[in-house]
Amino acid sequence: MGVVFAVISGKGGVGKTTTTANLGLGIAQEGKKVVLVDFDLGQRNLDLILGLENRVIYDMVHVMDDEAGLKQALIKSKHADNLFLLAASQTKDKTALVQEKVKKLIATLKEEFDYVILDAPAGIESGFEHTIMFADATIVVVNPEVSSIRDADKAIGIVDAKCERAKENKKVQKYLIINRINPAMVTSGEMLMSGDILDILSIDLLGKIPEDKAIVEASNTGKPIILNEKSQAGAAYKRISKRLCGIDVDFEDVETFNTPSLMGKIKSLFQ
Amino acid sequence: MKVKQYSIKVFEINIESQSSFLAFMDKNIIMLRHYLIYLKGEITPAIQEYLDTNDVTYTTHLNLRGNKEQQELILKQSDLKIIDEIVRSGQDIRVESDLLVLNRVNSGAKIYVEGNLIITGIVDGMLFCNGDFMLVHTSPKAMIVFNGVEIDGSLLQNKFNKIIFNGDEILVSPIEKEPKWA
Ligand SMILES: Nc1ncnc2c1ncn2[C@@H]1O[C@H](COP(=O)(O)OP(=O)(O)OP(=O)(O)O)[C@@H](O)[C@H]1O
Ligand SMILES: [Mg+2]
Repeated sequence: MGVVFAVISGKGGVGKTTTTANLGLGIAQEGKKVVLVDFDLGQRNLDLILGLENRVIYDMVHVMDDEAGLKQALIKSKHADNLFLLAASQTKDKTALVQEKVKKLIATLKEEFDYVILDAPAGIESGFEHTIMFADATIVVVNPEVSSIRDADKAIGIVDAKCERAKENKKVQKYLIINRINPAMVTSGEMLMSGDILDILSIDLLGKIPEDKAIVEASNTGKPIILNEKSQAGAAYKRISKRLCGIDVDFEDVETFNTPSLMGKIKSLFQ
Repeated sequence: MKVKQYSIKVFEINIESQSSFLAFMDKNIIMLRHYLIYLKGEITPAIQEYLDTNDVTYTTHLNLRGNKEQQELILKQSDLKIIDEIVRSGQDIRVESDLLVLNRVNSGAKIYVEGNLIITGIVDGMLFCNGDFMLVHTSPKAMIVFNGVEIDGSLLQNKFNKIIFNGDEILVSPIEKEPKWA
């Protein structure tokens, strides 16, 4: 039986979809069977980031309404054989979801896959509620700024109040990813320090992702940043993926500048 | 013959009227179950029935000799609500009684209390308290309204503050040492 993670943020545009795509690929690279489900109905873009935009024939609403079988609708990733996407509907909007059908779909996916990762829409409206309702755990993505933290705080409160596990008095684990950390801005005090963010949100830190210009390019070309060996953000997503597979990886400090090591400096003298 | 010795605490209650006694018992029954109750005054049939159905341990005759040090335990008759969770943005808590929050109150959260308020975590949100006192540790972002008066943030230093209403003025005094919460 697989585990269902909902990737949420409250505030829009902080990196949920980017995170979903990269962690999906990273976990698949660890040998697990993974499915990503785009719950951002009407605004789908997980297919784009995975480079699968022209492969979507059937989407999750088709499956839920029995207009297509699950096998027909699952799209295999180009980057890993054990990573699949269930796309969002482009035409139907968030009101197309019905709780009973969402429940059934997730139960089916849990049987087939080790990891079921749901990409939530921005905000805390009904689309968000459908995403969290049947999740076993949530991954909360924030940017180091007050508005993102406050919206995430609110989203966490709703998870605790509304999702099915919480109603059954079971723990819904919540993990934090701080995305778009800019060392220069942290040093100058323009960004919140991750210690403060953890104090406020009081959930477990899963990892930190630095700001990386290459992410936009990666999304545009449909090759998630985790495939880029040189990218620090890619390496950060790799570490998080391993952690989610139960592998203990040391935390790296992405909040301070990466100054070249002494040996690196000396070697560069002779180049 | 077998003799056993118990160390117990005794609670002495003077029954002044049946109704006030029953109200008091109802409020405090959970705590009072741990004591032997020494009752003085008239035990009416209604009181007798209450004592029997609630399995209260009591006596009407107590004659302790020796060092009879009478400990006076003042029970304030107010309900206390306890919140042992972080109070998050978007939450709106309204309490008629006293309130103890054993965690932080985040920005965007609101708490309205008719009674007294104690919060052990840092407060970034909004507090409205109409009780006799507050004991809080607030950040500069917080908004604190005590008995209808907004407390000037500069008075609230970055430590625990005791805010009391003595009938005609509000007094804010920072507590130097952080209290230890058991
Ligand atoms: N670490 C990063 N460094 C630089 N750019 C980033 C980073 N993370 C995300 N981005 C960029 O931020 C934008 C928003 O990211 P993304 O679409 O993943 O956010 P989202 O939370 O899914 O948004 P929405 O709420 O609209 O669904 C994208 O253009 C993405 O490329
Ligand atoms: Mg998105």
